[in-house]
Formats: sequence, C-alpha cells, structure tokens
Amino acid sequence: MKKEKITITVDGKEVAAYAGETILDAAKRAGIYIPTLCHHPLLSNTGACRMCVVKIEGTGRQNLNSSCTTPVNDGMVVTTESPEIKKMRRLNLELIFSERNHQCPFCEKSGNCELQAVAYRLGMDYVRFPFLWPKKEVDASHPDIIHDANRCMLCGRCVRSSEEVDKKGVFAIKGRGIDSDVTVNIDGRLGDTEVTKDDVAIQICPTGSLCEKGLAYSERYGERRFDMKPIEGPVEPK
Amino acid sequence: MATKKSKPIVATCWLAGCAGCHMSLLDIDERIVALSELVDFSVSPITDFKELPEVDIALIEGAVANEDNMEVLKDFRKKAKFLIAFGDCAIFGNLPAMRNAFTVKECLEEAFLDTESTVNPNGIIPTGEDVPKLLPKVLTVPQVVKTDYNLPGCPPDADAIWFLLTELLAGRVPEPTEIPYRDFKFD
Repeated sequence: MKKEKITITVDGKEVAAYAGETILDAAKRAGIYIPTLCHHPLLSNTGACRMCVVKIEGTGRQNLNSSCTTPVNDGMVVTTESPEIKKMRRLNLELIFSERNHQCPFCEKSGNCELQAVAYRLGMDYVRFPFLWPKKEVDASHPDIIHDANRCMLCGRCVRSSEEVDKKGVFAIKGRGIDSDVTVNIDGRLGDTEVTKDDVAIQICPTGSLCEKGLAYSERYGERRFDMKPIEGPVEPK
Repeated sequence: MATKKSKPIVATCWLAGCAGCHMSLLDIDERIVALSELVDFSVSPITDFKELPEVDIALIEGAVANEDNMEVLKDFRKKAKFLIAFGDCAIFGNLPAMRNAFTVKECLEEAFLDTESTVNPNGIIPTGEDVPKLLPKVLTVPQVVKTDYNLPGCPPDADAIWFLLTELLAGRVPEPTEIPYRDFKFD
C-alpha cells in the first residue's frame, strides 16, 4: 500500500510527511534534531522518557506531546524548539539524573553514553533537585555482560529490543513508579538467561546500565563517540 | 584589601574533592601569568591565605561532606559576588558521594575498624571538636547554596576554565552551551 503524502509545518518550515508516521520521523527526515532517549528506530515507540516533547499548535492543549508517539496529521503545525520546550526537556533530564546514580567520571559508558550526550547538547550544567542516591544492584553474573541498575533510566529499550528484535524477551520492568527496575525472570540473574553480548538489547542501552565486559576504558578521551561531536540521534547496534 | 581595589579578587576552595580541579586551573599553563595580571588571588589552596575577604569570583571545588565543608561554603557564599560550582564533585557529588549508599557509621567502621590493613587495637574512631563531623549524606554545592555558575568536568577542562574566567572578567556570563562543545564534559 502506498503511503499517503501530507504536509506539516515544523518550526515554520513545510515538511513532507507520510500519513501515520510520527512527528519525530518526519522532523528527522527534514534534518531537524529532536532529543530522544527511549526512542530507537529499530523499536516500537513508548514515549517513556519525554525528551522528545514538542508543541502542537492549534489543539487548544496546554501540554506538550511526545513526538515519537504522536502521528502526523495533514496541516499539523509543530514547534520543536522554544524556551518552554527547552525548559521542560531540561527539567525532565534533571529528574532522570537525580533519580539514579548517574555519575559520569567513574562510568565506563562515559563518552559513549546517550544520556550524557543529550545532557551535553542541552547544556545541563547542574541538577536542581536533590539526588536520591538509591542503593541499586549490580548483576555481573553473565560472563560477557554487566547490568548496573544504578545507571538505568528505565527507558525500556532493552525490554523492547529483546522482545521485538532479539526475539528472546529476556528483560522486563518490575515494580511501580520510582521503584521500578529492569529485571530478568523476576529478580533472576542475567547469567541464567539466554541473552548474549551481541543482542541488540545490550548494544543499544543508552546509558551504562548494560555494558559489555572487557571494553571498559578501552578508548581514550577524544576517541569516544560524543567527545568531539554532539549527539545527532540514537546509536546503532554493532 | 580595603584600600584600593584595582583588580577583581578571585578566591578558590577545595571541599570534599581531590584537588584535580585546582590542577586543571593550573593547567591553563602560561595563561596563569595573564590571569594574575587580570585578577588578584585571595584565599586558595594555591596561595594559602587564611581569612576570606569580600571577593568577586569564587571557585568551589568538591562536594559538601562534613561540617567544615558546610561552614567554608557558607562563608564563601556570603562573601563572593559570583560563586562557581567547580567540577563534578561540587555539581553532581561524584566520588565523595559514593558513600551515600551507606550510613556514616558503616563508613567510619569500614575506615577505622574493619579494613584488613587497619591496626587499631583499641578500636578508636576519631572524634572531638577538631575533627569535623561527617554529614549524614554528602551534598552537592547547589544543594547547599545558590550558585551563580556551574562548570562541570572531572576535572573541568583548562580551556573551559580559561574561557569562563575571561568571559566573566569581560563582564559576560556565558550560557553553558556557549562553552566549546569539546570542553563541556562530565568526565
């Protein structure tokens, strides 16, 4: 079936879009960067992280919408950058940082981390909220993978990719709200699952929560993905 | 100090941190000479002056881990026109805040009693008024006082420090995104 072509306006620019696709996809094709974290092109979208929020004009709604889950409509007018949107993304980012132990200097993902890179790009110079310092588990039972819940941002990428791409359904999220955690076999050990280091679920963790063993600090400062170049979008699996 | 104020006064301090941020300040290399032409250094681990006067710019390295840190920081806030949280420990807690997963009692017992290499036959944990009490949790500088600027990095890049100081001395306060991308880092 041929997709119906429509036109939407993004930041004052007319953008060709296909009916049914998301605002994020249409904007991306037009070369407009919208920060994302839970979104990944290989996966379904859940709108979990709220980094990609945009303003849809003329809806009469005060709130912002996540562009990764909102489909385009013909004639839709979208704003992706404004002081208000910037403020909300920044606030959201600070909440993510304050909830867990996202301490970059001793994280092996530093320099290759999407959460950190989005914080750089948005100029997050500090966190206004009290850090919660939760005491979280590190699961090193797998021979090739470390799962550190201290660095998790509950984006659900591992859950979705294990289900949708790797076809293993290894990961799940347990608990409610701030007490949620990524888990395997309900509090089981990663080493007892069929997950491998080459699974997309491990490759596309946006933070240092899921890391391949043996690669820590193998790249020098300046050689890592986001040392010199700002983030443009989600990282590709190897 | 009170007689003639020709140059802006810069003071720095080092709370719960490793001195790395101060090393990075020295790492501006020969520009330190230019900087000393532009400002007067007051209290700082580099100068060792003891009494903090009113200052124009203060750089605060380190997190707030004990009562002494708290007192020093509040004194700096009172006397500094422009206070900068300097580096990741000051801004995010970083290494000093790793103890926040434990109680103070657990930390002290680990350090003074339980560590294999410890020789402490009487089992004494140091106390007394000369020993600053540890706070229940390590705090960041912006959690304790209002900061006028936050320059992250472990340590902040020397070029970022130089950029920020020269901008401030020229009367501008740059947005974090105006710091060159390669110099605005959390590690």
